[in-house]
Amino acid sequence: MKKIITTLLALFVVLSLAACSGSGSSAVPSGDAPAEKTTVTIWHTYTDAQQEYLEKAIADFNASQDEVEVVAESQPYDGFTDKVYQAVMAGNGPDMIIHYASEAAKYVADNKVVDLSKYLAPETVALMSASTKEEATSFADGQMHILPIVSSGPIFFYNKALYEELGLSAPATWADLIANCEAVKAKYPDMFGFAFDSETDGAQTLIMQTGNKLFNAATNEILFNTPEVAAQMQMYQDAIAKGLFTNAKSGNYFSEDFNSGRIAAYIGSAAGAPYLETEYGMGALPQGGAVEWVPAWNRGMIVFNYDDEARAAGAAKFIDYFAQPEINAGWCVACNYPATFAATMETETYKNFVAGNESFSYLNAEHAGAFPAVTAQAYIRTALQTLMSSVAGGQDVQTALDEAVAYIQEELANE
Amino acid sequence: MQVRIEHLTKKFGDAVAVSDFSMNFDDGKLVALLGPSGCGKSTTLNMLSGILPVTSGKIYFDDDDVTNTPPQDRGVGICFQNYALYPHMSVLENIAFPLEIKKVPKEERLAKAREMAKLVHVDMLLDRKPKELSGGQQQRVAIARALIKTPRLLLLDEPLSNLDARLRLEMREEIRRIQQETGVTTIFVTHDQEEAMSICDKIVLMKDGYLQQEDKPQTLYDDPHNLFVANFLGNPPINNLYGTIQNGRFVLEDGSASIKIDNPNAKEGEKVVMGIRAESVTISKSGDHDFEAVIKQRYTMGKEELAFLNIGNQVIRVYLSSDYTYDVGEKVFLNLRQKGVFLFDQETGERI
Amino acid sequence: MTAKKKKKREGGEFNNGLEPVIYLLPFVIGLLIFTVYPIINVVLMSFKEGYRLSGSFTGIGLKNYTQVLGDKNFANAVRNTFIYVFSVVPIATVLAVIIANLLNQKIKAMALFQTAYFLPMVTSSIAVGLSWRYMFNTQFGVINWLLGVFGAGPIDWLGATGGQAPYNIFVIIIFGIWNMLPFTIILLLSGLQNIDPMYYTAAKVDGADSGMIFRRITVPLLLPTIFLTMIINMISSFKVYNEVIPFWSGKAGALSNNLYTMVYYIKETFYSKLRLGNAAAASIVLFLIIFVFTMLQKWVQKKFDY
Repeated sequence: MKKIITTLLALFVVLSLAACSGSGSSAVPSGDAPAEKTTVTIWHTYTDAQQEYLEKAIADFNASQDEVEVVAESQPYDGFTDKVYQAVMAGNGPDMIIHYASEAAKYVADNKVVDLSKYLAPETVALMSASTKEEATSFADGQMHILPIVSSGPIFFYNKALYEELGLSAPATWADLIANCEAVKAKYPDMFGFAFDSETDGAQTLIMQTGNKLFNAATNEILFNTPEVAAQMQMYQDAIAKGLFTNAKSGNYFSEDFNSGRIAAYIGSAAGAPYLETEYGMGALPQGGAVEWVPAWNRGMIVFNYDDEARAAGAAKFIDYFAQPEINAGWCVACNYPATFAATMETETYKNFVAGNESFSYLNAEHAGAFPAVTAQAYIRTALQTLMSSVAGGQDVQTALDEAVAYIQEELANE
Repeated sequence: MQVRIEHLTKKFGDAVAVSDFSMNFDDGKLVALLGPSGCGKSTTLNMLSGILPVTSGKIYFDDDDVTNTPPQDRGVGICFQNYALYPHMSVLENIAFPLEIKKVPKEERLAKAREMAKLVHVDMLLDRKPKELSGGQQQRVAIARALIKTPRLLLLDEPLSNLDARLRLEMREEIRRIQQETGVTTIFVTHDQEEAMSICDKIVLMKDGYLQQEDKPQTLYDDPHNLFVANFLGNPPINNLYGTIQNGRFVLEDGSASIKIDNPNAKEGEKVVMGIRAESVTISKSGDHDFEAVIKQRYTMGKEELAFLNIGNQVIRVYLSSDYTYDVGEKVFLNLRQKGVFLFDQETGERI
Repeated sequence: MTAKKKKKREGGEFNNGLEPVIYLLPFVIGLLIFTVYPIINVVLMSFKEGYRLSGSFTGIGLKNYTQVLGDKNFANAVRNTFIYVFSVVPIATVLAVIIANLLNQKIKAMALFQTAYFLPMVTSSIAVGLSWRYMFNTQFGVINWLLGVFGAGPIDWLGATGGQAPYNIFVIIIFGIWNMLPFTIILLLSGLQNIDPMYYTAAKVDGADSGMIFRRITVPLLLPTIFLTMIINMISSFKVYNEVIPFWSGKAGALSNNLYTMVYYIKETFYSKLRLGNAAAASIVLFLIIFVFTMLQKWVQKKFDY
C-alpha cells in the first residue's frame, strides 16, 4: 500500500507539468450564440491606457449594432500564448487576439485560424500596403490569417554628447558604423561602440540585406548559408574581436548599458526610447548590402476558427470597425506604436502623435520586412541566435553557419 | 573510591535545588539518592558527574578535588534515565563507544566490550540495534557502556523508572549483582523507596534540596529522624494521628480517644503527631488493649487483608489478623508494639 | 437482526455502508480529475503519432519515443539535467548539513543569519535570478570581482566563446544550490532538533570532542532526514526549469539551446514546436528516471532506518 502511495505521489509530482497542459484550462467558454446577438470574445493582456481604449472601442462598437456583441477578457501576461493555444484547441478559447503573425502560424496546420480575406470587408483588406499584405498571407496555406494593425521595429540609437564630441553622425552603412566605433574606441578604450539588442533581429538584418532569404516554406529549403552572409558574419565577428561591438548585456536590454555609458550606440526597439536616460540621437538602421532592408514587428488581429460562421463574421465585423483610420490611429497612440496603414498615417490624430515621436521617422517602413510566419520560425530563431552567439564567441563563421543549418534541418526532420 | 561532598549548593537563578549538602559515600557501596521529584537528587547526581557546575561547595573523589574537573576527566560512568543508547549503533558499538572516543585500538575495545556484555548478560545480542532490545536489555547495555571505562564511580539516574513492574524487580537484582561483582562505588537516583530499600547498602533521603537522613535502609525505616522520613518510607504508608500529650497519654485532638505512651521525652501538653506503622498494630476482639476503634472499610492487597479503622474522628490503616473475621462497623481492640511507633513534634516534624 | 440494524443507525459501526464512501468522494473525484486523468492522458498521448491538441493523430506506436530518444537536443537535456542533479543535490546537502548544524548552536545575531539563509525561500526564483544575472556579469559581476581578488578569472559565466558555452551550466548549478539551501536547512534543522540532547551529553561525558560528536552521532542520527531531503530535492532538481529562465532572457543558455534541461525540452517541444506526442514521451521518460532514482534512494534509506 505504502509503495502504491509513493508511486502515485511520484507520478503526481512528475506529471504535474503535463497535467497543466492536459486539464489546466479553466477558461470560461465564450458562449454560444444567443437567439439574437452573436457573442464574440477578445482575449488580451493590455492594461492602463491601452485597456481603456480597447474597452471604449468595444463599447462603441457594441452600441453601434445589434447583431454582434464583443466581450473583452483581460488575461495575465505570463503564459498568455500558451493559454490561448490550449483553450483554442479545446474549443473554449477566444475568437480574437491581437498578436504577431508567428502566433497565428501555430494554428494553421490544425485549421484553427480563420482566413480573414473571406470575412473582412474589401475596404479593410485594401488598407494594407503590398509588404503588409505579403506578411498577412505568408502562411503555409497561403491564406490571410492576420490583419496587422500596428507596427514597430528597431532603430539606431547613439550617445548624442559623445558623437558630437567626436564629430560623428548616425551611420548610413555598416562600414560607417565600424569607423564610428573605431573613433569611440580610440578615445575611450573601455567603451564598446555598438551592440544589437536582439541577436536574432541582428542576424536577420545582416542576412536579408545581402538579398538572400531565410527559408522557403514550400520546399523546407534553408537559404541563408551563402558566401555573402558569411561575409556579413565575418564583419560582425571581427568587430567583436576588436572590441568595437559587444554582445554581453548587463541586464535584459542594452538600454541599461547605454544609460551606464558602457556602449556608445545600439540597435533596439523604437519603443525603447522612453527608457533611455542618456541624451540620445537616432538614426535608421545601417545598410550597405545588395538590398535595403530593416525588420518590422507587426501585430494584428487574429481570428480563431470554431467552425461557426456567425462568430467568425462577427469578429471580422469588429475588425472592420477597429481598423478604421481614426480608430486605428487612436490605438496607435494608446500603444505608442507606429501605424501600418497609409490611411491611418493621414489622420490628424496620427500626425500629431508622430510629431511627438521622432523615433518613428527612422523606421524606414518602405523597406521593412517581417519574419516569415511559418511553424519552422521557432527553430530558425533559435538557430539565428546561436549563430550570432557562436560567431561573437569566435567560432569559425562557416562552421557556425553549417551548424545553424544542420540544427534547423534536424528539427524539420523531427516534425 | 570514596566520594566526599562538602557544603554542596546548587542554585538555578533564585531557585535553590541543593542546599548545603555534605556527606560521604563509602568505597564500593551501592547508595541510593532517594526523594520525591524536585528534591535535588538528580541535580546532585549531575554535579557528581560534572554535567552541572556547582554553585558552591566541594566534591572530592578520594583526596582529589574534582569540583571543577570536566566530566570526561572524572572517571565516572553514567547510565541515563532513558539510557541514551545511540540508535544507529549496534549493542557492541554502543558499549565500545566510550573507548572509541579514547582512541583505543579497535580489536582491544571490541574485546573489552564483549567482556562487559558478558558481565551484564547481553553477549548474545551484540549485533542488535537498541530498538530491537527490550527495556531491560537496553538497561543492561547502558550499564555495560557506563562500566567499560572502568570508572571510579558509577552513577545511575532513575535506572528502573522506564521498566514495567516485573522487569523492575529483575533489574534491581541485576544492578545489585553487577555492582557487587565489579565492586565499583555506585550512586543511583530513585524516587521509589521500595527500590532503594531492597538493594542499597545505604539510602540518602532528600527533600527540597536538603539532606533528611542517611542510613542503612532498615535503620531509616526503624528509626526515622523526622516525620518526612517516616512518611516517605514504608508501604502501606505510616499512619499519622494528631493530638497532644496529657497525663502521659496521647490524646486525639478532639479528645475522642487516648493511647498510653511510653516515651520519656514527651512533654506534657505538647502537640504531637503519632506515627504508627500498619504492622505495629495488633488487633483483637477482646482482652487488654491500648485503645479501641471501629472498622470502617476493608480491602485486600495481595495475600494480606487491611482495614481502615476509625479512632475518634481520625483514620488509621492496619493489617487484619486472619484469626477472626471482622465486619464493617464492628468495634475492635488494638494494641501497639514497641517497634514502629514514633512521636514527632507537630511544629518541626522532629522525632521526640 | 433488528438490534443490529438499530446499532448501525446509531453510528456505532463505521466500516460498513455508504457513509464513508460519501465522505471520501470529493477527494477521490478531485484525485481522478486532476491526477489520474492527466496521467493516463499523457501516457496515451505518448503513444499517439502526430497527435495534435485538436485530438487528431495519425497512428499509434513507439515513434514518439524513438524520435525523442534519437533527438540530440533530448540527449543534451538529459545530460545537462543529470549534471545539474548530481552536482546540486550532493553539494547543497553537504552545505545544508553544515549550516543547519551551525544554526542549531546558540550564536548571537541568530535572527540575522536565519533571515539571510531563508531569504531564497520567500522570494521568486526568477526575480532573484535576475539579480544573480548581474552578479554573474563578466565585466562587473561581483562573482568575477571576487575571483579577481584571488587572482582568478574573469570567467565568461553567461556567454559563449567559439560556439561553446562551458560555464553556463555552472551558473544554474550555483544558483540551484543557493535556491535549494533554505528548504533543506529547515528540514535538517527540525531533524537536528529532534535529536535527543541526551546523546550529546552521554558522548561529552565520555570525552567526545565536537568533531567526533558531529561525525559519529549528529550525522548518523540525521541520516534519515538527510535522505528525505535528498529524495525531495532530487525530484525537484530533475524538474529544473525555473533556474534556467532568468539568465538568458528565457533562452536555454548563451547559445539558446545548449542548456536544455528535461523540463525545458518538454515545454519547448510542447509549446514552441507543437510536437505534443514527443513532449508526452519525454515526460514519461523523465517520470521513469525520477521513479528509478526515488526507488533506489528509498531502498538505500531503509538501511539507515533506526
